[in-house]
Amino acid sequence: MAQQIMIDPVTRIEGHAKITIQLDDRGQVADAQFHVTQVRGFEKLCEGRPFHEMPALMARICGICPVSHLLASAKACDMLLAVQIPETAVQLRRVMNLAQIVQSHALSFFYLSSPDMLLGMDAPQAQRNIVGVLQAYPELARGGIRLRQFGQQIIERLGGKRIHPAWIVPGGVSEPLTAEKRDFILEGIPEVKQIARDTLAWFKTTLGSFTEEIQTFANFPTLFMSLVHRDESISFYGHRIRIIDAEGQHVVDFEPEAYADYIGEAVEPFSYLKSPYYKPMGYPDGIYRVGPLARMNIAEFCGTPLADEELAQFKQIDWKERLSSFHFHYARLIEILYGIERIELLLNEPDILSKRVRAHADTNNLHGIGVAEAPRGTLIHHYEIDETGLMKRANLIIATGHNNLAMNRGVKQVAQHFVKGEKIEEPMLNRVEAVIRAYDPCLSCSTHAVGKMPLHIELRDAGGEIVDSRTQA
Amino acid sequence: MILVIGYGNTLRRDDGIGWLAAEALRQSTPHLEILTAMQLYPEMAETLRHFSAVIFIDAAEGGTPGEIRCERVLPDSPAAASLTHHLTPSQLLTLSALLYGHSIEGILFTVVGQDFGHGEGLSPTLQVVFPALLAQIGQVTGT
Repeated sequence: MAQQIMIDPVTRIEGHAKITIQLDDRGQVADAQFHVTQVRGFEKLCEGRPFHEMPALMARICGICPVSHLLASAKACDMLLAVQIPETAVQLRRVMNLAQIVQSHALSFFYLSSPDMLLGMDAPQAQRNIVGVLQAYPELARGGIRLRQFGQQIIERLGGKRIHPAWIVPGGVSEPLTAEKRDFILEGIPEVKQIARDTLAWFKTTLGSFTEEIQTFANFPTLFMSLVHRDESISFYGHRIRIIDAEGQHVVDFEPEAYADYIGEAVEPFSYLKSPYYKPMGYPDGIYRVGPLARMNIAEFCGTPLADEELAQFKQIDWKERLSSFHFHYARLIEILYGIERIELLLNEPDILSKRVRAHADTNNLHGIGVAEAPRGTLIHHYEIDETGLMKRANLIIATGHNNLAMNRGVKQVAQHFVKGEKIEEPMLNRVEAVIRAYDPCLSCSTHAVGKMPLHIELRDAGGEIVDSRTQA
Repeated sequence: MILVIGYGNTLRRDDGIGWLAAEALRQSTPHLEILTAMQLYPEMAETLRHFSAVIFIDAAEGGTPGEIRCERVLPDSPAAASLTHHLTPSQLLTLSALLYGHSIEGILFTVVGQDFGHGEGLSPTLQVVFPALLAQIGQVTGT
């Protein structure tokens, strides 16, 4: 009789979700589904509001990556105003977004995922947490806290507060950078750069211990998508969206404004999370991944010396292995280093203290599309307004949503490898959770759910009856 | 040096009393180091190591609205400090001790709230006790 395993809730991710694993009559994994069970509906609640409120409103979607929402929203509003914002404003926006990349990646790697890697996937859950890391590896833990603090301090200095800053506005930023703030940030660079380098050096020594995970953690062919700079380097701000295939070959470049020509959005009855796909390949064959791994696989180079060395080393890994979502962790660490280096370069640019940081205009377009790379991947805000500037419609495609199909397939792959029999065994439970965490999903963003994320698994037979279940707080 | 951390959500009325009290102290008592936040977070453990004492100010549920409580904060057992999204004052002291070997005196002021609904500004009950809260904190800080 076919059965079903359900994991509910999934722990140490942002938001609330559960996982169902369906077994066939022989007790083999037939399918797996990642359910996101809450909805917030920012798209609806913003209707009728003045568009210039959108950046501050949309930033409330998430407490971890508000800057990315602020940025994508402001870029959409720039298009509504039809302005080209001052170059200094572009650079300052990039600084804040990169600061968020650093702090968010530090949260994901050190706080959420490092317990699995440092203490072992099968260590007791009571010890396999950030406190276990603190006790066993205090130096690494201090480094993680410092990196996160550094990113948060930049956001706070620039935006006035570390969560939900409102400094990025339609047309640019609300006030210029002062020399005092610039110097404060630059002063911290050498320390955090060294932490990032040390962490990468350590992480690379551990890869040999995770051969099985690399093979089974969502290691399958998909497309990859990210923004890419005009010069083919990594980009978190512009200019084109690029898709490559599962062989690493270029598929298409397109302007962010043309996203709807290439990205479709499917809806499944078991989840509030949309399932975007690459339209020319149809649903669900048009599966693709976004985020750190996609950016590393797509970018030709970073444009900063240390990150370029690391990226070159990363690209030495066999391409088929670089299809593994386990390498999101590796990519995340390279991006932390890149973010620190790029922030330093940006803050040393001669015009960074310029007072010209905002363009002003009336409404000139009725459609606005803003795209940025958030920590978890490509973030798209699309607004439609009426002649008076009131919001008629918003469409948000969030990084975690782009990865939805891949997360579902990843859970299935891990379950097929680790599920043995009709009981929920600890190794399977740990690894199913860990593969989800590799994507660092932010479910508050993607579905607009409030919350924290415990995990629940149920095992169901062919008739839908629960034969086993497990909850981890 | 004394650090004051006032935390809570100023958009949920009385939940913001810690934040508002800390901001009032920033104006009235310049020698205190003031932090305001929606909640406590792990990076504060690094900040704590630069101070000899910390005063937390927060809203509380349960009890008589307007009641001011003051209690000493002691570190928890390490196992209790496992949260990642937010921390209690005790967990924060634990983190600071674990990571930096730093022992710090902690005091927590809480005020029982009356209205935690949406909106800004304190309820009338908490507006009345607000000066008393600042006075009690002043007694502890010697100002």
